[in-house]
Amino acid sequence: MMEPSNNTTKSEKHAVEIKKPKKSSNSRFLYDLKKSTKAKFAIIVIFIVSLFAILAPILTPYDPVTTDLMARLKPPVPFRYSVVSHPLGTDALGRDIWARIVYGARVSLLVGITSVIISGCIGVTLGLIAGYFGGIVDDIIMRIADILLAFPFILLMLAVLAVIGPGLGNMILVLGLTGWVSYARVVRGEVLSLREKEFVESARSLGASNMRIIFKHILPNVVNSVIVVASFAVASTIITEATLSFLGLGVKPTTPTWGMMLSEGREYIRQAWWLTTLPGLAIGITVLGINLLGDWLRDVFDPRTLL
Amino acid sequence: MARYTARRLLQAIIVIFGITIAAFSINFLAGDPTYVLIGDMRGMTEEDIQAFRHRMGFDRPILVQYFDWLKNAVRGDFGWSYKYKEDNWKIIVERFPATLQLTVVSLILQLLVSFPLGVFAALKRGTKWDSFSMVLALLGQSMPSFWIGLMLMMIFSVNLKWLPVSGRYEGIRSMVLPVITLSFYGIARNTRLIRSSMLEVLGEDYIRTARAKGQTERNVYIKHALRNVLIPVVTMVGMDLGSLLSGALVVETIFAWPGMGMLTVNAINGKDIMMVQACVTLFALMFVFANLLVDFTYTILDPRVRLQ
Repeated sequence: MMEPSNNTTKSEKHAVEIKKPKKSSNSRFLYDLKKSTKAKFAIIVIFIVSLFAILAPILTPYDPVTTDLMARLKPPVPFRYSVVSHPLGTDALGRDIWARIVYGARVSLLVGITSVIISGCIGVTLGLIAGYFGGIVDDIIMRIADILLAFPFILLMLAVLAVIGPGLGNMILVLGLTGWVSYARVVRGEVLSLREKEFVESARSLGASNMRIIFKHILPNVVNSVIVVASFAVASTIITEATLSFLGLGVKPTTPTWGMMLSEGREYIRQAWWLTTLPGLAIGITVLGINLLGDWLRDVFDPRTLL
Repeated sequence: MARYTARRLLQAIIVIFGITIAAFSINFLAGDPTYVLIGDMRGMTEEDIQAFRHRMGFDRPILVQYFDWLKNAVRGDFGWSYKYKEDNWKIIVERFPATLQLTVVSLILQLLVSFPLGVFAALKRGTKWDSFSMVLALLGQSMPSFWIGLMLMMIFSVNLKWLPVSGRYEGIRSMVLPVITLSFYGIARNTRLIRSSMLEVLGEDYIRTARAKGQTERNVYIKHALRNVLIPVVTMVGMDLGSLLSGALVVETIFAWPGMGMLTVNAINGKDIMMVQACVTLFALMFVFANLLVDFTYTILDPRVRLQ
């Protein structure tokens, strides 16, 4: 675990260099990683899904949107009527399921990661401001957060997307703009106690400006919590994206996404079980991997939660 | 206590005010609401459009429109649905009991399953039981609820034909799958929360004191630990209501459960904007009131809160 003082001493050139413990935070991190099955599973899942997203055209000879009506509703390989050329079967329009799952990883990861970056930046900034300055600024930011929290999340997204129109960009934007509350709350909470600490006082007495104190002294100390919140947020955003696509307000219908596959498969639930089962498994395993990573990171950063 | 109540009420009023502004602005997100409402403009002259805009009152200043909308909303007048050819409020009142039934039953199921499971996991900390329930919980949190719903539907309705596929016509039999689907995520999350708060309580000084004065383990758990675990559970119920209401949107759509969730999703897909505004406002209001209730329950359970 990173010592808070390490960060501040590193960033302050004129401060006295404190001798670091021999075991650097990096090797401790790797040691924990090797020990934890949870973390290994998480890393492997995330690695594979990222490979899907990056190498999609290499991993499958099929185009995920090309229809082939001669090969519609083929089941996955070991089952009757399956064909070897479509190992995971095909959907009602004869599109290859494996190709759609592999390409679908792109949308999930893209939406998950970019919207989390947007909401993370907004949330961390607002949380820092609210916690550090307090008073009326804090009140206003936290009331806005309350209002956002007061809406059932999916409802808010659905309503906004219905009006501004579905699409990848709009979805990322809406997810990004509405998802900042959890960061803001966590960061604010930590800043409230950090701002009373001696190192902040000493920085202030050395004449550091508020901006410098916030970004150079306080920010490095909240990074750990932000990473934990962000990893869980990526997981829940992927589920939200799938839900929105499922309800017909995700990216445009020609882009293959896991949520859309589920929504299309739903109509064939009586004839073709694989259409609903496989994309769901893809979502579940990916999200599980990311959640496990978040879980493990929380344990590493804050051993108190292990109890 | 009075000060706390007053402050909390004031906060709620501000939040409600914000909600109405947000719900009202849905109308203007896509620019001029006239065009959104008309949709297909073929065969309409500029005069027709102007006349429509005037009739709907969209040519008035936004603030006037907002206060007018708010004034009507307070009286339960949320406009007229073009889709149902009926008063929006009337439709909502008809649909509301179905959603209430679904969410309340799910909430109860969540608590009934997650509370014993979480406490059990905490008491058996570090054993296989503990890891097993935690893996199960994490798994439950990672599966999208609508997928769980589809899988349950495929297994129990389509293949085994034990339960109806959709609708709300067969009493309890109709409720089984929607309720399980809706509570799945909550059970997973609450089990983890209850486990960690139980662990926290078990580490407190008063537990050690209770043991030191010779209380039986049974008494320590029941009299001293469980009561204190109740406090975070109350907060949890508040959070649960939010996620249950969100979940109801999806679950009702999957199982064609005729509640407010399905109504909202249909209104959104049909661009029935006034209905959307009404549903958004009411959903958010339910959530605010639930949280208010939770906060007041909190002060009764935990006197420390009152002093802050």
